[in-house]
Amino acid sequence: MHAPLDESIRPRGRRWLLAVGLSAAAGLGVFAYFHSNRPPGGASTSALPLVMRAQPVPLPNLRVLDGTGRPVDLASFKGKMVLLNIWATWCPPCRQEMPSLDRLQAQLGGGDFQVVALSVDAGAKALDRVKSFYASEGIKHLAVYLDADAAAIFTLKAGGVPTTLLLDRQGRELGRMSGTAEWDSPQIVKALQALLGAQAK
Amino acid sequence: MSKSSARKLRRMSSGPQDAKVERRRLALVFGIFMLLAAPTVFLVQSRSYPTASPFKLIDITGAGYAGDFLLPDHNGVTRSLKDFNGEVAVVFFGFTQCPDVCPTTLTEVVQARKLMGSDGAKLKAIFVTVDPERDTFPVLKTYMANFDPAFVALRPDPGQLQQLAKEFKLHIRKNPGQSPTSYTMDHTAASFVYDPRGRLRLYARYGAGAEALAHDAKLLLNGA
Repeated sequence: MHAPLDESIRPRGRRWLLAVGLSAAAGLGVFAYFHSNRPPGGASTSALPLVMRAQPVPLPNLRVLDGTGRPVDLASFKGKMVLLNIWATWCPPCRQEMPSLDRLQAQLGGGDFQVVALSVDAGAKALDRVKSFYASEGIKHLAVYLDADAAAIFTLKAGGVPTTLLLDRQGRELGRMSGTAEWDSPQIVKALQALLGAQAK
Repeated sequence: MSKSSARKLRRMSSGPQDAKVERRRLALVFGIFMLLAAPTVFLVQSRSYPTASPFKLIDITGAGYAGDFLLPDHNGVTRSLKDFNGEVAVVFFGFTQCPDVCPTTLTEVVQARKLMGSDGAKLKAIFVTVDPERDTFPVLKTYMANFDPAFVALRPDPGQLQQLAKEFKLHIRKNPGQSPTSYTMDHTAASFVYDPRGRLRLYARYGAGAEALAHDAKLLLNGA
């Protein structure tokens, strides 16, 4: 008695199964794609507070000033991994995290890694303000860099300060975050060391 | 099998064919709907976003709010839009003790002034604090020294702030922090742009960029 009914339902049931199966396969594919495109050492980057890119993203060049007022290209840091911190003296959270960036530079800075603290302070006294902040906070290991045109905010699309980007040895963006972190915490140092090892030449 | 049950069976087995007809009918209705909907959507869109607008920011000319203010600035001088006659004023709201990420609107206006060349001197930023409790006059004075000396910070008292929120349709909310002084403020992050005659003209979403502001401010200065 119920046989015809059952038959009319069964093909539809199979179609549903097929649809679910196909969606699952597609989802798995997308996951696998992004997973395979993670930077090497992907497992350890989860300890970083940064939002990591699926793959390294080339950045436009940025010309800034050093502590003596001479122009420096962001591209000149190629060959090192760079933690680029965009900040300003008028920004309380930026001021708060600067000592931890200084300690990170003391610990990991060298030929293979550098913390670049780039101030977007504006005006004729900008360089003086940055230097007097370094002096009052005892910042000793970070070099002074000034982006008086605030080009970093616009060309690197930083929505606010602080914004911190991690760049690979080719100057490409590996990841970024807005807001503060305890940059010399053991987890972050360990994750950065692992990344430096994984991306070794 | 009895006669009646055979009839029943036939009726049942005709079910899938009924469904096929029903599906075809649905497809036809959907097709007709889409044919009608597409031009309608196009017409509505082209009407509400006229491609002829010369502005890059959102044109809100004639909006019946965010008219004017009368508030003391960081030097204690009472200010209103009249003080910016002949200039383009950018009014926005915020507070200096941002907890985690600080907005860069003031930096953006500095950048726009540079992009405008000699006209840049006629672009003024007016920063209104939504946190008069912590943003005292001395705090605001120190803060504004970080930007252009021509920029202005306004400090409404709590009563004036309430009126202002109504006039500018602001969303302002205080979020308590761990201590009585560590609270944060949620607030509208957009900017209002006024033409040289003090009329509200443009609305800039946060992060709209210095280039768009410089472009539109030039148009307004030229009488657009």
